[in-house]
Amino acid sequence: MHQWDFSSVLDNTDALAAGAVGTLRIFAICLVAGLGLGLPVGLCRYSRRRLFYWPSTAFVEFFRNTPVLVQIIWFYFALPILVPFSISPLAAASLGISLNSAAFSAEIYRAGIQSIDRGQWDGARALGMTWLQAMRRIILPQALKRMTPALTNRAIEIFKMSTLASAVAYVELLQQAKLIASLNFNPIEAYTAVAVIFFVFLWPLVQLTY
Amino acid sequence: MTILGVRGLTKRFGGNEVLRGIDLDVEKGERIAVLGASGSGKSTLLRCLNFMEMPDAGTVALDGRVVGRREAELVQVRQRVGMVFQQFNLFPHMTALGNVMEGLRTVRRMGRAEAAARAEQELARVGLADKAGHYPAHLSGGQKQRVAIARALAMDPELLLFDEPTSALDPELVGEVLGVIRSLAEEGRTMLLVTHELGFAYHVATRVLFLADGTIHEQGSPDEVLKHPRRERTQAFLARHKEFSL
Repeated sequence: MHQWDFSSVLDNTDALAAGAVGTLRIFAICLVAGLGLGLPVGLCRYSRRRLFYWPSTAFVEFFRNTPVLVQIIWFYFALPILVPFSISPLAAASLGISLNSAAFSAEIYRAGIQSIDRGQWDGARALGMTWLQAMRRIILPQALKRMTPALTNRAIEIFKMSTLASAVAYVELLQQAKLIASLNFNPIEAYTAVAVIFFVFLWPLVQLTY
Repeated sequence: MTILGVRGLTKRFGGNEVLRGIDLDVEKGERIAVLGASGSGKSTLLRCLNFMEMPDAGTVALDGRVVGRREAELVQVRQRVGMVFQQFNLFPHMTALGNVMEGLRTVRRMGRAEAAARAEQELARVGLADKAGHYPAHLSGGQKQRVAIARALAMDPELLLFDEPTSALDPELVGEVLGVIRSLAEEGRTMLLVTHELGFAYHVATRVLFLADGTIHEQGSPDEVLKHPRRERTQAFLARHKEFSL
């Protein structure tokens, strides 16, 4: 029977704190970049013009159907062989997670915009609004309200996907737990601590979706 | 003076030809009631006039200038041709005042205070000054449609299009909306009105069009078309409408 002993974890709170900062940093970057990029991609997916529709559809399908972990590893290890520069672990992980989140959130934006009654477009356009004005003033404000639960889910996913950055040794919570476990031979306590920390961060966020 | 000139207007939805070459001139101050059975193309005709639907063939000229297909041009035309819809299409996330201000603010780029003052005037004109702060969800159907009319009026349209403005209303609310439209008629505004309210058309319109199969089947003064229709299909249409009247 395992004797639980968290003292070796508590001795390393500074390492975990550094990991938490890394996790929050990657979360913030990917939240803004992922959900931000998702909107224009979603608008292109909504468009009937081939010039917008096909590239955005290819983007969404590609990044929805390849694992984020593979993308992160590819950006970090394969890309530098193809191009004359390398990127940092943070950049590789942020790229992978952001592009994946953009693809998924694009579908949320598209569906949200499509769910708005055609009459709202009629009302806006009859006043002489351009497409962009109608979208910004009339359609999006209503659609965003409907999309909030789904977008919050994406945010939660992004938070958890940040652990994938440990694959390229970026300093975040899981990476730090690995470090603590290897130094103190306490993998059970170290990984349990990480799970608890994630729960404490995410549980309040999840409550917002109800 | 001719405000709107329509020549050979044609519109298809798939293989279904809804409008088959409509010719129509609208003079300033005219009030044209458009009648017809469902599927006769009357709503489509109205929606083609401000390019909510793109005609497949034919031209629409505003003040003698044929309107092209460029977005910028269409946006200009829609600012000059107001439209009121059967389903109101108010913006649910804005108050009544916000709805009326929206075109002034976003399209006309008017300052907030000036737009609010103008919107209040328009709401007062339709008798809803006291509802300015209400959201559409808290208004009756008749009130919603009056806000929608105020919203269209705020843009100073040269021509107003009404697409069955009372068809979605409970019978007891129809009167308040027709009352507002009649007061606009008395101001001498130019308007096209698709309606099933034959009595209203008779008293308010200066000309009545009867559409059938995507063409203007018969037209003339309200007295000619509604009281003494010459063509069989117009007579049959009017007979059906009178079947259950008191």
